[in-house]
This record gives sequence, structure tokens and C-alpha cells, in this order.
Amino acid sequence: MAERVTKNVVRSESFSIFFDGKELKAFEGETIAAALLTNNIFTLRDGIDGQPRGLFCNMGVCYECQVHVVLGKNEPPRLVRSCLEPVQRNMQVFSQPDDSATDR
Amino acid sequence: MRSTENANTSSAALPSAKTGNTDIAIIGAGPAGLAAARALSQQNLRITIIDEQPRAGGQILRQPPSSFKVSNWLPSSSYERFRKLVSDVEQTPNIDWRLQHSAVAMFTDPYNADRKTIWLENAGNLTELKADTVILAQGCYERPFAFPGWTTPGVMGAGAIQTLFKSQQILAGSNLLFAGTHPLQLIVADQLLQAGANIKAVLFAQPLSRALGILKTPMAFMRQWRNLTQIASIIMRLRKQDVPVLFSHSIVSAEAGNGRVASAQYAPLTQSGEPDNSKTQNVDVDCVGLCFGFLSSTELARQAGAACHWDKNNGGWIVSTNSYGETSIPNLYAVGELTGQSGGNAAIDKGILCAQSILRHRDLVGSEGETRSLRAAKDWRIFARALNKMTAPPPRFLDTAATKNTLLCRCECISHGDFIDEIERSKNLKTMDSAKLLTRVGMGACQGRQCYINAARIVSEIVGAPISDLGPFAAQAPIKPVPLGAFQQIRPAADQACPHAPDQ
Repeated sequence: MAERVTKNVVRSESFSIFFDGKELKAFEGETIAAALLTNNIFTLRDGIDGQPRGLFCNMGVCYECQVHVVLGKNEPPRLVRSCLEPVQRNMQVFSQPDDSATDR
Repeated sequence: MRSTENANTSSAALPSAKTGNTDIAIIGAGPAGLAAARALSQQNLRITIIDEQPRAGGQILRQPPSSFKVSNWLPSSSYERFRKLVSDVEQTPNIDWRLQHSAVAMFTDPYNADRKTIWLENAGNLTELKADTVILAQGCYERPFAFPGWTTPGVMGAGAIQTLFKSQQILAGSNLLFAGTHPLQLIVADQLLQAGANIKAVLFAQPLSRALGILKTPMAFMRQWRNLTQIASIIMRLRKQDVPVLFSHSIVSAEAGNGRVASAQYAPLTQSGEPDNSKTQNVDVDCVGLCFGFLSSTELARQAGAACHWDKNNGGWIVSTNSYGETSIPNLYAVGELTGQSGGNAAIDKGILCAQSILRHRDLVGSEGETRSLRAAKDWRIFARALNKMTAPPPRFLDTAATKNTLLCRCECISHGDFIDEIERSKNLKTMDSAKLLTRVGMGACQGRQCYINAARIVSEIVGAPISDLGPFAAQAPIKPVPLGAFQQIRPAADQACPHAPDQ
């Protein structure tokens, strides 16, 4: 299990984010990838071989951790590296592109 | 775009650039870039620091989020010099910070030989920054090691496990296996062990005799006494907790269960570097850390046209510079790991020397310490050379680690077997670019960062040409993916970008 270190660490506020519709707890300042790990989510997307993929380099060079995020209500989804992107309250994160949102 | 921290410095506090947006653009806020910034900040120059991360520090000092309060962060004395450097620069008032920005392209200004144009990407937007002098300090990333199951979620770089711990304050797993050739994995295993994780084993592919080779270079040994005793005490701590630290061993495969890695197999290696499959051990794991050394992030330098050369165990394609970081392009510098794998301390000294050169070119007087830095950089280089030799994968080992079904190119999902077959049919290939065009290897989102080195080794062996002749995958702008919509409007960089609040 991946877990948050609590010894010597005081985090700020927590809030909800959503991954493929599932509500998860995250803390201000966490990256999306880190928040997902602590919620036991290791598979972030599928590769083009159809196999599950997850975090690999955690520093923005491998592009394995890409997820789609929607921030505001009418915002189009944005493809981001979840190891770099900080969570935001009520952020919608998707493992695959949400086609309905991209029809503009 | 998520705005970075609140303004703590007013725009009036920043010096204005002589021409363009900034006098000096430093790409990479790790030890090399920050050391240059600190040395330059004493002059009345506009300095811009660019980094993809939300805070300065690079990877070695990857800081927790500003909103976390972490007491006793990185208590080891080996981080002291870096902590002071980051703190000094964060508290320097006259710096233009552009954090959470990727530098994706750099062009020489056709109308002004001393002007560089840099494209910065943030949240799907491109801005164009013009700088007189550019310092490249993007550091390095972990060398990819391909073996059956290496794409399983939960299998990641040892550095990834470390930065998750260091910065995000997360234990990536509760049962971890480490495999590699580089001693960094000992440090990470130790950090996680002390935080309560269970370490199944730390495996070194090279034999113990090769690992101890570092002791054969007495100069390196004497100067690096502190580093070596740190490693020795880590090994003792691991052994005390019954964590096997095994040499001539490597991970053989990893399997998934419930969407993440669930088990792994490791085996001793024979004299010729192949796994002895009759002696395979199976372990239950939920995280695997790979640690096979580092590759230098020279894509932007190469895209801009700076001369580079191939140095096999020193970062791959690295930028050719003199001791002051001067590249083949005037007013373009490269410092730190871009110029060869020498570690964080050497990076600081290279940053200092680079600043000296810049100040001299501008007829400004630098601070003292040039001779000391020249000597220190040379010393670190001697140690690094020994370390690189000691951490090189054993011969034949890389050839047998992957099977024909193991993916070579993770992004485009091309297996070793398919790639080898294709190259075998085209032995008249002269360049890695041709191999890429032929097979699609290197065409994915990572732009070859996770496959080039393994592909190049294969091509080199099959066509019979050295990697230095085959060349890298040509680095084209943008050197990191940018959404097409960003090109609709490339905005000139605002004079005052997101300022950085130093102390939070």
C-alpha cells in the first residue's frame, strides 16, 4: 500500500478530487499522481498496447503518468503529467479522454 | 493556469534587462542553475529562472509543497550545502521566477547574434522569452532498464520513489524491491526502511569486486570519505534489519495483480552477466525501484545546435563545454549533469564557474572562489569517473535482461524482438534517426528518452557502427510535447511573470 508519511509532516487542507468519477481525498499541494497513489490507484491509463500504465519517472520526462483533467464546468479536458500537476478542489481527472467534453 | 505563489517582490525590485525580456535565462533550478544564479545575483542583472517543478531545488533537493510543514526535512549532512544554496537563492530579491514552465525550444535570434528566444510552455500556453545569455541546467533522468514486466504500474525509478518520499511525503509502497547498479538505490531503500517500509532486497547487477573498485582510486577515496562512510553505514543498517543486499543479482521479471505490481523474480547473474534461471527467487512486492544510472537531458541544447558528444557511462549524449560551461554557441552555457554525470556538488562548482565567465564577458567582477571551484570541479570529476565505471551495467547483462516480447519503446509499444527483426533486415542503416523512421521507436510522447539508449545499443551491435557514429535521435522543437492549440498564439513573455514567494 502506498501511504502518506505523517511523522514530522503537517499538511494543509484536504478536499475531494475525482478520478474516473470516483471521489477521492487529496491534500493541497499534492500532485495528482501522489494523491492517486495514496488512494491505491496505480493504473493511470492504458498504453496503446492496451496494458495498464502508471507512474514511472515522477519528474516529467517519461509521459507515462498522463491523465486528462477538467477544472471548470465548461472547460475542455487538458492532458497533463500527473506527476507535475497539483490537485485542485473538485478537479475531475480521467484515465481516458472523455469524448463528450471534446465535442466543441 | 495555476498561478504560482503570491507576489512577495514588486516589479520595481527587479532590474530591467538591457534588451529583450531578460539578461540571463537559467533553465533548470537544480544545484547547477541555482549556483550560477547566486553568483550572478550580486550584479545588477535581470535573471530569469525557469523550471517545470513548482519549487526550486531540482531533483536532489526536490522540496515538499509550500503548503506542507515538514520538520526535520532531509536531516543528513550531505544535503547541507544544497539546502543553503536553495535558501539563499529563494531569498534573493532580484530574480524573475518562472516555475511550472517547460522550456520546449530555443532559437538564436536571426537579427541579433547575442539574443536567444526561448519558448516556454505552461498549462497548454506558449510564451516567448528573449534572453541575451542562456544557461542550460536541466540535469538528468534515470536510465531506463527494460525487463519483462517493466511497464507494470508500481515499477518505477528509484529516484521516483525517492522524490515521492522527499517531496510528496509518500511511501510509494510497503513491500519494495530495488534493482540496479547505482548506490542511490541504497540511500532510497534506507530512507524508506527508516520510514517503516519493508525492503525485500537491494540488488546490484555488478559483482562486489567491481563495486569495491572505487576504493582502488585512492584520490577519489580520500576526498569522498564522507560519501563512502555514509554508504557503508546504510549497508550495515540494511543488513541489521535483514534486508538482503546482493551483488551479481538482478530482477528478472515483475507481474501485476489488481492493477499494480504484485510480485517479482530475481536471480543471481552468471559470470557472463546472464541470469541463472535455476536459482530464481520470488518475492511479493507492491513497488519496484530501478536504479541503473542517469542520462543527461541535453535535448534543448541539441535542438539549439550546441555541439554534443557521446560518453557512454557519463550521461550518454552530453554537451561539449570547457571548464566554464561555454558551449559551441556564444552566450549559451551548459552546466551540471548536462556536461557529464558528476553529481550535485560538482554541479554547484560548475554553476559558479559559468557565472564567472558570464561576468567576465560583461566586464563585471565576479566573487572569489574561481580557483577553488576549478579545483573542486576537477576533484568531483575524478570521483564521478570512478563511480560511473563502478555503476556501469556488466557486459552481456543488458543483452539478456529483456526477452523478445519485452517492450523496447514503451510509448509506441514496440517489442525488442520486433525491433531487432526490423534492424536485422536493414543492416545498411547509418543513423539512429533512420532506425526511428523505420520502426517508430522514439516517436512517442517521451521522444525517445525511455528507449534511445537501449535501441542504440542494439542497432550498434547489429549494423556494426559505434553509437557515436549513429548519433542521437535528432532533437526537434518542441523538445517536450505541446498541444497544437498552443501554437495559435505564442505570447511574448510578460515582463513580470509569476513571482515566487521565497519563504513558506
